[in-house]
Formats: sequence, C-alpha cells, structure tokens
Amino acid sequence: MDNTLPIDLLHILLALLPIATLLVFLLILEWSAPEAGAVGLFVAAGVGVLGFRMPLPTVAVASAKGVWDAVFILYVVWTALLLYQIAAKAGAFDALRQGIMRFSRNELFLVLVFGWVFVSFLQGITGFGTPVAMVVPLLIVLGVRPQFAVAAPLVGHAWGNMFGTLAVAWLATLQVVSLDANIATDTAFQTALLLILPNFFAGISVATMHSGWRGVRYALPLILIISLVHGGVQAVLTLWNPVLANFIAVTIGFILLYPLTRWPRYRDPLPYEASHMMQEPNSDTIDELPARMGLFAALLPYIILMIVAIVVLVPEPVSNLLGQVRVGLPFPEVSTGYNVICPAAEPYAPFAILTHPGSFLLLAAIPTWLFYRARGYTASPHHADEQGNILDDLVRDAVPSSLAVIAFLILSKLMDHSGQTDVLARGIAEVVPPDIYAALAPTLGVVGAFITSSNTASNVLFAPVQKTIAIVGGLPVASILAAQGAGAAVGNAIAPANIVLGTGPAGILGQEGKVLRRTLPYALTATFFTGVGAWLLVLITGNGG
Amino acid sequence: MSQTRQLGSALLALLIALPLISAGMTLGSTIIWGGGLLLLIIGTIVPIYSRVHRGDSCSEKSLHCYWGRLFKSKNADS
Repeated sequence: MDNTLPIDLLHILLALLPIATLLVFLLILEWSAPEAGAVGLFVAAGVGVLGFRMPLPTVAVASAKGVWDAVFILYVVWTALLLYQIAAKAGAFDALRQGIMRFSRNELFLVLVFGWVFVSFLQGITGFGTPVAMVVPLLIVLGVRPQFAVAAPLVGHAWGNMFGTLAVAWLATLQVVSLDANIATDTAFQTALLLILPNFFAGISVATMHSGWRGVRYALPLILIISLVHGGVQAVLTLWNPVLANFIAVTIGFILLYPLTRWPRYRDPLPYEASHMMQEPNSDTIDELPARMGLFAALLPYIILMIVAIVVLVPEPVSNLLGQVRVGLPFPEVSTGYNVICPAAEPYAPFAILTHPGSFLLLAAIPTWLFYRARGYTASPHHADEQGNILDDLVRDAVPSSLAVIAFLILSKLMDHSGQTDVLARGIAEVVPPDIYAALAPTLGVVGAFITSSNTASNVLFAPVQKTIAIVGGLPVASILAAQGAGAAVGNAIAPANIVLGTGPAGILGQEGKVLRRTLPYALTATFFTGVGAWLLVLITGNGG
Repeated sequence: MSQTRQLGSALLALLIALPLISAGMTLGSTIIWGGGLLLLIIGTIVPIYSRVHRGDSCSEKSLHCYWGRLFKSKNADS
C-alpha cells in the first residue's frame, strides 16, 4: 500500500527544516561539523516524531542504519588520515613538492593539476571521499591556503562521482529504476553530456579561486583541453561501457598533463603576482632542507593505491570473488503513522570489505610505512620530535571527523525513514510545472547528495521519484534521470561529510562552514547550467522517452 | 577530560549503539534497543555539550555566558 504522506506546505517546510538548520549552523553560526550535524539530526528526529508520526523504534532503526552507512565512509577517513600521517612524518609531501616543481613552476597550473585533474583521476578508481582526503595535503605543500586546499578538490572531483569508482553510482541507479537497454544507454549518455558542464565549471572555479578572471583567462586553454577530454571521452565511452568510461577519460586527461608541462605557458612561473589562494611556503622544510626522498618514493603511496584499486576492481572475476566477502547487520521492517514502510534487511547494506577503498588505503599505508622505515625516512633528525605520534595525531584528527560523518548520515536516514525526503521531492514536483521541471530536476539530485554526501545515495533516494515525475509529466525519462545523476554529482562539492574529509588533513577542523562558502558558488553555477542543459535535452529529445 | 577524549567516548558510544539496536530490534527486546538508542543520543549530544563546556572563559555560569559560547564562533580564520 502507498504511503499517506501529506504533501502540503506545512510538511514541505517541516521537511526543509533539518537542512535549513544544518546550513544555518554551519554557514551563519560557524559551528563545527560535528556540532552542527548533531543539532541537525535532533531537528530531523523532532520533525520526524512530531510532524511525520515516526515512532521510536523507527527512529532507532533509522539512526542505527545511519551509523552503519557512516562506517563505510569512516573506513576511508581513518585509513586516508593514517596514510597521510605516515607520508607527512616521513617528509614525503616536501619531497613531492620539490619533485613536481622540476616539471612546472607555474602555481596556477599545479593547482589545477592537483585540485582538478589528479583528484578526478583518483575519483575514477577510488571514491568515497578518498580523492579529497589524499589531495588536500598535496595542495597544502604547494602553498595553497588550507580552506582553498579543501575547497578546490571538492569542486574538482564532484563531476566524477557519477561514473567514477567504476560507475558505482550509475550501477546503483540501474538497481532502483528498471530501464530497458535503450533507455539505459540514453540515460548514461545524456548524464555524461550534462556532466561536461560541471566538469568545465570545476576547472573554471579552481582557476577563479586562484586568481579570479585573470586566472581563468590564463588557464583557459588547459581547461578547454582537459574538460574536452574528461567530458567528451566519458560521454562517448558511455555508449560502449559506462563502467569504464570515467576511468579511461580521467586517465587520458592525467597523461595529457605531461605534454602540457612542455608548453612554456604552463611550465614557467606565472607572469603575475601570487593570489590570495596561496600562502608563503614553509621555507624551513621546503627550501632550506633537501628532500629526504626522491619523487618515486614520495609518490609510492599513490602508486600502490592505484595498482591495488586497478588489480582488485578492473578484472571482473577478481572483483566478483573479493566482493563476496560481506558483513552487515540485520534490521526488521519499520514504518510510520503515515504508512512509510522501510522493509526488513538481512543484512542491511552489506559491506564488501575487500573491495572497499578503505582496504586499498590500508594496503597502501602498510607497505609505505615499512618502506619508509626501512629506508630510514621515518628517523630523520629534522623530524625527530614528530616521530612516534602517528597514532595520536590520527586519533586527534579522525575522531571529530567521524562524529560529523555519523551525524550527517543519521540525519539523512531519519529524513528518509520518516518520509521527509519523499515529501520534499514530491512537493517540488507538485509545485513546479512539467514544462520547467527538467531545469529543476538537477536541484533534487543536489539536495540528495547534500543530505547523504553521496551521489549513489542521492540516486537511490530520488531516481525512482524522478522517474515517476517524468512519466506523470510526459517528460523523457532518460533526460530527467540524467539531470538527477548530474545534479547528485555536483552536490558532492557542498556535502558536509565530504568537506569534513578534507578539513581533517588540512588541519582546519571546525572550519567546514568557511569551506562550504567557497564551494557554494561552484555548486550554484554548475546546478544552474546543468538545469539549463537538462531543459535543452528535454526539448531536443522530446516527450515520453 | 580533554575534548579529544570526550569526542572519542562519544564515537565509542555511537559504535556500541549500532549492534545493540540491531540485536534489540531483531530479538524484539525493548531494553536492548532502548539502551542502544540512549547511547546514540548520548553520543550525538556530546559535541554540543563539549562546545558549551570547552575551556572556561566565563567567570560565571550564567545563561548569558552559555549563550555566548553557543552562538559565537571560536574558529579562527586560516
């Protein structure tokens, strides 16, 4: 039986309250993420119990499922921070900076390389926030201010969430909406077409963060070349194999960087003054001390990470075999007074531990630590006072991030299990006329990703609703689902749990609201143009697809 | 208790709550899942408690003092 949720102004406003609370506490009151997340989840629970007839057992199950969902991300948070601590203590980031400067001394080029191209490359194979956590320290050693060092990769990687991590978000979409083969191909292709826009604006945004329009003008050839490769190659390849489309596109983009470093425009220093995005490099560790290791040793964690991810995920028999090892907890069916039913799960969202990026990071961390230790990098006299604190520093950074991630994911599950997300989605659909719905369809994807911090979860939540709206409104299903997927990708740039993944390694825990302010302009611009693109797609492809 | 210890305890409470709620709901034991829910509430409220009680810049424990701690950002710019 369908639920009996009231789709009226009061309930739409009530459903908006947890999100509004989160934004107010993060952006205006500047509370840290764990604090703002806790307030948001209590509001979501209060709204659920008082306004959506959510009984306590449903609150308990939703909250526990939120904690379980968070464990997926926490496995990445802890292992990424562990790898970061190992590399930082051994001086790998100083060595990396010195090594990279041999190829290019153009800081705008390097910021774009790491904040957009390299983070997209990592998104192609890892995901779950790993790319952001891994790139933030690299940008900081290049001299990027911490807030920008978090904001740039958040913006830079967002577009890759839909088909990155071997298209996990796309595959999840196919699981929740049944599409025949032709519409599935159309949907993948149109999604990839729309993603060209957020990808292009990611390059523009990172260049703008660096030096405004002057930076955009200077970086424009690079941005056009890379976005054509990222977006164009991905779009064409979705017609053949959506699972590998992003991975191949970002790999080509990454390889193209080498010839670009031969171009004096991007090899030599910028012809104008440093921007407010940059700070003075830490001269006592970078310029005065020679690096303790070479570029290869410094890149070792990344090389191991890529090899492990490719070996585990690309050959289907290997990923299928390892993917069979799953752990999960059972939850019974729960419901609300409005007949919102969440079926029993046995187990709920099982965790494929061997194919999880957290395991890749752990597998990269252990040999990296052994290698650095064997080569004596961890015993440098310059950093003697820093040795032995890896675990202490890991706990100090990871605990607040973990609490924030858990709070956001509990909030997300409370909204889902109480029917608040459903009311939000159906409310938007009822208010907006079908003619212009396509332009607003990405917004729903963005909201979903903001709440859940996941492209996949946003699609799982909203793709069925979007499909229903498309059919009822006589709109092409493929175009509306494409708008959902592209919007959900963009939403990753402003998702609080993703921001926390960067503020930890950047050493600016508690400043999540300030980072959000820096990524918000990108999200608004990319959402607007993705909406325009979706509206055009509907016009071109016609009705009732 | 340091802030890291407080937050660490909160994290532990949240992680313990997870199997308690799962087991309690599956076995139909209100006490077990209720205990899990209580731990979950404690775990999520600790960051707010920690914000109110961190440091001690207030000379008196007045409502005004707590209000100031709650709604004035302490985060320095980077």
